[in-house]
Amino acid sequence: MTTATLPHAATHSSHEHTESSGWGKYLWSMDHKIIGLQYLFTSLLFLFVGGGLALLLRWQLAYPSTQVMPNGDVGNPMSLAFINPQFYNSLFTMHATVMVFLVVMPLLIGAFGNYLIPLKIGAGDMAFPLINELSYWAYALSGIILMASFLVAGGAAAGGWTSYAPLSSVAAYNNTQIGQSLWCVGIFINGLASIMGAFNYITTIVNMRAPGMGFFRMPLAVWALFITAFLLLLAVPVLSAAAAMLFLDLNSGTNFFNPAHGGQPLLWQHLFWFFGHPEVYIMILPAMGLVSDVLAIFARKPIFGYRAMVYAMVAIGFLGFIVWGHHMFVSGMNLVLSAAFGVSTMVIAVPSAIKTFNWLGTLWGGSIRFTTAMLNALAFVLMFVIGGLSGIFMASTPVDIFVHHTYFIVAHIHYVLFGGSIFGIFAALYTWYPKMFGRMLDETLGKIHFALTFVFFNLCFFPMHNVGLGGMMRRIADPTAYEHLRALQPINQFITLAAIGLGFSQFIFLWNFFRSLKVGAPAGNNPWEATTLEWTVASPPGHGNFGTTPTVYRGPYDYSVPGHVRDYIMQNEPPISESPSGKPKHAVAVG
Amino acid sequence: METLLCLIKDALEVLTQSQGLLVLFKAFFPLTFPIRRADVSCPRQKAGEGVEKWKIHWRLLPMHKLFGRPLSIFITLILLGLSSAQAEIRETSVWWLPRNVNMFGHAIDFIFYVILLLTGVTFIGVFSVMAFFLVKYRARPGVPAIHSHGNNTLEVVWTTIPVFIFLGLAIYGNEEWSRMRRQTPPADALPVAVVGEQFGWNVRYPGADGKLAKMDAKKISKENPFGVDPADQDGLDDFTTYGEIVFPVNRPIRLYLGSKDVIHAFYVPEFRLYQDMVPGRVYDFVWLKAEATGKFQLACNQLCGQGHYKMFGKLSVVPVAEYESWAKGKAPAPAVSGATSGTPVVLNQR
Amino acid sequence: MSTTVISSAHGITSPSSGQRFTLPKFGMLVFLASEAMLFAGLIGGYIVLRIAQGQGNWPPPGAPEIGVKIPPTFLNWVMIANTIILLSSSMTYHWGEVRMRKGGSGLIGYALTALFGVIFLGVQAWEWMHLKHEGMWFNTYGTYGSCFFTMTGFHGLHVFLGLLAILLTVWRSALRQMKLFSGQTPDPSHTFEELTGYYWHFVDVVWIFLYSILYVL
Ligand code: HEA
Ligand code: HEA
Ligand code: CUA
Ligand SMILES: [Cu+2]
Repeated sequence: MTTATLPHAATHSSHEHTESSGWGKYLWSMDHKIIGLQYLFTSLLFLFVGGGLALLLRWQLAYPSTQVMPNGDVGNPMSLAFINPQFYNSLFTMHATVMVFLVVMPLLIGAFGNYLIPLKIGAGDMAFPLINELSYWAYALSGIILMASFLVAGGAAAGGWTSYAPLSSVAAYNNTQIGQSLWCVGIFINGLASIMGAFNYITTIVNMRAPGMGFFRMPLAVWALFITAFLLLLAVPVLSAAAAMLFLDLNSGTNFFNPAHGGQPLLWQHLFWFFGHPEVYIMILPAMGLVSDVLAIFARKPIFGYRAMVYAMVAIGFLGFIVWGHHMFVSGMNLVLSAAFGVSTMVIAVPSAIKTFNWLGTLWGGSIRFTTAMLNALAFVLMFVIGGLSGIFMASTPVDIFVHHTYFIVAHIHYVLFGGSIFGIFAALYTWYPKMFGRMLDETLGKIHFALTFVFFNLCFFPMHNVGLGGMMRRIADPTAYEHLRALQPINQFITLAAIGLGFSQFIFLWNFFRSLKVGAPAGNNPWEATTLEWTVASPPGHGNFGTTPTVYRGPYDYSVPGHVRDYIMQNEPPISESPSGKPKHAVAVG
Repeated sequence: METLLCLIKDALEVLTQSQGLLVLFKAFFPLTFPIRRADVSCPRQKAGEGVEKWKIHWRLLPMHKLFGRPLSIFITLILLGLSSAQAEIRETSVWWLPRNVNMFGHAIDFIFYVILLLTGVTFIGVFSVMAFFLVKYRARPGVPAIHSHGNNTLEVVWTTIPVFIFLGLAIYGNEEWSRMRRQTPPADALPVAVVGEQFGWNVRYPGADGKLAKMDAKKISKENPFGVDPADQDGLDDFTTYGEIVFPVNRPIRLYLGSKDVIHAFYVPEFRLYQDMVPGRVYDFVWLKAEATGKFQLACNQLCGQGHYKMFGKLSVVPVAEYESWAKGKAPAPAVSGATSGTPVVLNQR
Repeated sequence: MSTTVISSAHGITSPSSGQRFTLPKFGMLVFLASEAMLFAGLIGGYIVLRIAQGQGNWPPPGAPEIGVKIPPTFLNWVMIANTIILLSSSMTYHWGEVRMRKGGSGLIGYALTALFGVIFLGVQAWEWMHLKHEGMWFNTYGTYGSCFFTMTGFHGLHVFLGLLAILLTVWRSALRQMKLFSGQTPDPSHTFEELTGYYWHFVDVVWIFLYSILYVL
């Protein structure tokens, strides 16, 4: 590999048409940074949509509108009377669909993946800018389709985000034929977006690393996104195939999942979870990678056990494909198979353990700076551990007989997905916002936002373990319909209040986000004194990212190297040996 | 080990049943419990006590009238911890697991507590180490961070230990799993067939001969919810109920689970029992033995449509003699009967 | 959008630097892994459904015979011929590419490929109509009809997309043949032809799998 200088003209001519001014620049640009921002803004919008749906469903759970009083009144003066059971089912179905497919995946993979991969590996752009842009528009289209499904006759899909057949596949059972069909279409198109992103990332990372950027000099965030891309590439098409089959069952009378004509309801579950389990790691791995970078930056330390971290993520990726059956322990699947899946599920917890301990190791002996980003990253570790540990209960087949499909699972979901992925996203946003917009976020507002989110999050989701163990089922529109759940109702109301608090705390973030665009303190190239390549260039980086292709001389985490004046060495700084006086030679390429 | 777990369990029980935690929790409830149906009694409540407790005193605190709904919520949030609650909630089982009445529940609860102990210790460990590091290694001027890339011995240690813990858990869990689900039910088990439909439960009991007609999933239909052969001799004296299950206490019961339309699930938390009922099959491997009498609720715990939320059945465990007299009172049902009807679901109450 | 420009601009992925694949080729191969999983999902589903039907019920009684018989039926002969046609289209494509690399236009090879592709789709459509006429469709004969039409349909869709690309290669080589590219060749590495080739060969390989499980086994 040669240290070829980037011919400016060449890159620019290939991008010429993207240099148009005005809004077109943001809508049709093929620059990975703009596409990353497109993903960022769209999925933040959807975060509020998905959160709004969650708040509606939470309200219904606390003050259900299905109870009819003897005198004919709606039983509950606090209820939102428009939430009938069918609409409630649509609410949680779409809540999860939006959060999973339109918020967490696009934020982690679309926004941070796009923005950071080329910058962190020293490339000028993604390998396929056009496909990158198409991927964004496919994602946007899937979002529009899924939103539109609220308006069609029968309402949006109401079979849960898992869409178990035959409820989802027979119109007479679900009463939402159009909504469910649109769900299939939306998921299919969303899958196209994911696949386009995935092979783009893989190609970029394998082929376009700057000279000297060996695989084991890549920051963990890039590693995580790399592995995630493989998971996407291999898992998503299976969901697409399943969604197509479901669509045909609904609309063309095929019988894939219809037991009345030889179809197999369990086939849907196998196909869905073959995708679904890798999917949950798709949603956590990038967050793990980003958080690792954040921890290293603010602990001023190299990542403890860098290689172990990489191998752990690879292991999670591999094992992720052989544990899907743990969602089906009690579905009537072959009982020996259940046992086997139980074992593999336990095994997959080991690499997560390795990661957790290495994060702690990274904190050990550090010089920890408590920025908002760091606080969110620390919360990520802690909350992920809680969520992961609750996974152990369910991975044990006998215990799953008891807790399956209860709020214990709902608690698990939100500890790993909100406590994990979303805190990871916040950590990453607070860290890379300065790079993206050239301005700092307000730290005070950030800390208030963090504190409120952290407290309300736990108040909201921790009690769910208790109601779940108390026997409260998921996906019921009205817990008070059950005598054995009525006593738990105060806790449900408490959870709802906390959820509202959690939701409204996010407005602080929104305010901070948009205000800082205008009035935030200028960030400079490297506000956090970090080492990786994106910090060598201007904030926001110019078109083409690097004036000259950087050369990488060292690993991504050279913090606090003894005998060095600064406590960090950029990846593109030549080895210190060149300056025996102890004074490092600054070779920072200014973009 | 076992004693330790029992101790923890006892301690938790004392804690959760004492008023201490409850009072603490009540403090968080300026809003009261809005269910005004005093006519239902709670199955988990001790007999005779507290039907009144279901009465709502929520007019005592008409915050929403004073301030309007959104504001009252806001105020509620502000008042967190300041006001004492008026909510009258059940005194037992608000916290923690419901009581267990199934023979297999003990093993499930035991594994649950083992894992709770393990994960609890792990979490406390992780949390305290982290807290310690955060304090000890906070950035201070003049104190540089230690430059370290890791430690291979440590990596090996903290990989191996979880491997053994997890494998141990998996092996032990699987043993119990086979005991519960893969062992043949005892021959004297009472066979009971339960077939779910949108949105209710068809139940079939054997008559005097103690034998159920053979079920064939392929034959399950609207008219023939159990998929039985009308000519089946064993079925002639069978009787059926709709949404009502009675189990004799201390006698093994073997369930035959099926479904007419979509997937439903047989779920009773006090039995620590969940099993999906996928249409197109009959599941015959679930069995149980109730160890105490009482009234429970059977819940459908698999999303099955708009009436899912209230697809429940009555389930009671009664002394054997009582069961027998109940069964005698039931007339044999023709194998193939007219369509039963599910609970109608009202979408709009207004 | 010519992505090769970018890759060579970075000086690390142009063919001259000794890399085996250019970016687009690498990307195409990775993408095909994804496509393979799509068909793996379908085939996996097929296997599950077929096993669930039990011995002797596949094809279900009364369904039109499509499986290979000895001696072969008329339909068998048609589908064998069609398979051979699709497979030979891969060879003609390869031949076109070889010619092109040697400086020719490869027009005949590409045109033959397109022709074979069209024939394949045509026969496929005929078979569908024929079976529909016999009473077999997406919604008949339980999962048998569902599987057959969905899987061949998905494959047919891929052939169709491939065919569009093939038609473009034909167009490009026709231009080349007529020397309509004034002076310079726009894409000396023939990336477009090569990518189309990968895709087309992939679609063929998928057909070998589908043919064996749907018709032979
Ligand atoms: C980001 C998402 C994410 C992640 C990372 C995980 C991680 C894990 N999940 Fe979770 N899971 C979901 C998202 C996720 N899950 C969702 C969305 C569902 C519900 C789907 C639905 O039905 O709608 C679900 C459901 C689900 C089920 C099915 C439950 C049921 O329906 O009955 C199971 C069962 O085994 C399970 C297990 C696990 C396990 C063992 C892990 C492990 O990977 C966790 C490993 C981590 C740790 C264990 C913590 C750190 C480790 C240590 C500190 C080491 C020491 C520990 C010990 C010695 C104990 N999950
Ligand atoms: C990344 C994933 C993610 C995230 C972030 C969340 C966030 C939240 N979730 Fe969600 N949830 C899932 C994934 C997620 N969830 C999944 C996969 C399921 C399973 C679904 C199924 O069973 O099929 C589920 C199910 C689920 C249930 C169970 C429903 C049931 O089974 O009946 C509940 C109930 O409390 C719930 C609540 C919440 C709450 C209160 C939040 C809060 O964190 C939300 C906080 C709010 C905001 C962040 C936004 C703030 C917005 C406003 C203040 C209003 C603005 C208003 C408009 C724009 C209209 N979720
Ligand atoms: Cu039946 Cu839910
Ligand atoms: Cu899983």
